[in-house]
Amino acid sequence: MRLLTHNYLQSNVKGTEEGYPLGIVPETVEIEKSPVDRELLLSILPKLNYDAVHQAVAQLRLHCSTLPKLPSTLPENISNDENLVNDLYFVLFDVHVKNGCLVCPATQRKFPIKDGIPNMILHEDEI
Amino acid sequence: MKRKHLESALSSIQREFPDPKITLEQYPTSPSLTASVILVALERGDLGPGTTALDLGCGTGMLTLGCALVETDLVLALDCDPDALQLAKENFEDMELETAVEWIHAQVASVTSSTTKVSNKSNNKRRPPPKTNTIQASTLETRQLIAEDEDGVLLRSNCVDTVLTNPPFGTKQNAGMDLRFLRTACRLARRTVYSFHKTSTRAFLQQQVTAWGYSFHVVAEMQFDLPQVYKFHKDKSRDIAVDLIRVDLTCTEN
Repeated sequence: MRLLTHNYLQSNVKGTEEGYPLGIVPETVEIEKSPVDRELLLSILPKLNYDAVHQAVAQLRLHCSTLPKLPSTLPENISNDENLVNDLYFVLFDVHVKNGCLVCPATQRKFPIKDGIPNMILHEDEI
Repeated sequence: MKRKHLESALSSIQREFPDPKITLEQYPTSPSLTASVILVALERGDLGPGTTALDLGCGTGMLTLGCALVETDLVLALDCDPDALQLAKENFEDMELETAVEWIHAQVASVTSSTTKVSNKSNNKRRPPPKTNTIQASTLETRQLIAEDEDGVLLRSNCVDTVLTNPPFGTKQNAGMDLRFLRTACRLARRTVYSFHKTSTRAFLQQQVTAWGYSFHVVAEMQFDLPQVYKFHKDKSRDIAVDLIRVDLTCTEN
């Protein structure tokens, strides 16, 4: 599971914002390095919630300290900052949480991640 | 991308459903059908570079692969069956494409558990007959209702540009499942939805989608050769007339 997916996952807590973003508790993280695609990164960035990216990376850094540190807010003109573009591309596309779990911030309900796939199936009484 | 190349790449996938689950109506979308949808969407700018997509009920991953083959920025693939997801993932990995594809184990809530919620939300207000200047407001209101649906899919509304789906048509126990899929698809997409529905349900579908504040047009009429999914059918397979529809979510006029 990449952080891209994490960015879109939200626990259903009766229409409030409380179920987002999910916490990440990683067990196995794999890095699959790919050549930085600047255009791709700049295309997808506006479609992401940056605060959630920032929080996710901070959580992953507890497990994997070699991950880059991201600024708490995005600067105005990111396209000029090559290092930031590279770091963002890396954390979004190259970092894979293979095993671990996601945690609902409101209920602490855990969603397991196995072989890179998050299990978001709700139980009967949760729908 | 040429149709021939796309179809050929899609035909090369090794893995089919080894033991299709009848209750989930599992059957692969054919390479030819997949190529048709993908190319139509690509031509309209709904897929390809600069867009993100989601395959709702991905099965063996045909539509997912199609999106990946035309270099969509990001493709999310969702299915409730972990066996299908694993298969689709392996199909994709065999192709060694660069496109970022992500797999999510999730389930669109079944009709019985959510129908009442859905219909209560959209029908419980008595509205005066709409005047011309209030139509847009109510359209936006019903669209907003969809954004708040609790459909069992734990993804934020409007998270991708395009959703593609070949939904289950629903057996007697689960009739209307394709409508549920379509509604969830409209919630998850910000730009457009491509979906398949029995031609026989077209008028009903138009009515429902209009009530949600959207409209669709039929992109193509097709014949589906469906395997025996209904227990009471004696034939091994049957041909069913199917519409490929496109819902334009950006259209502000009903």
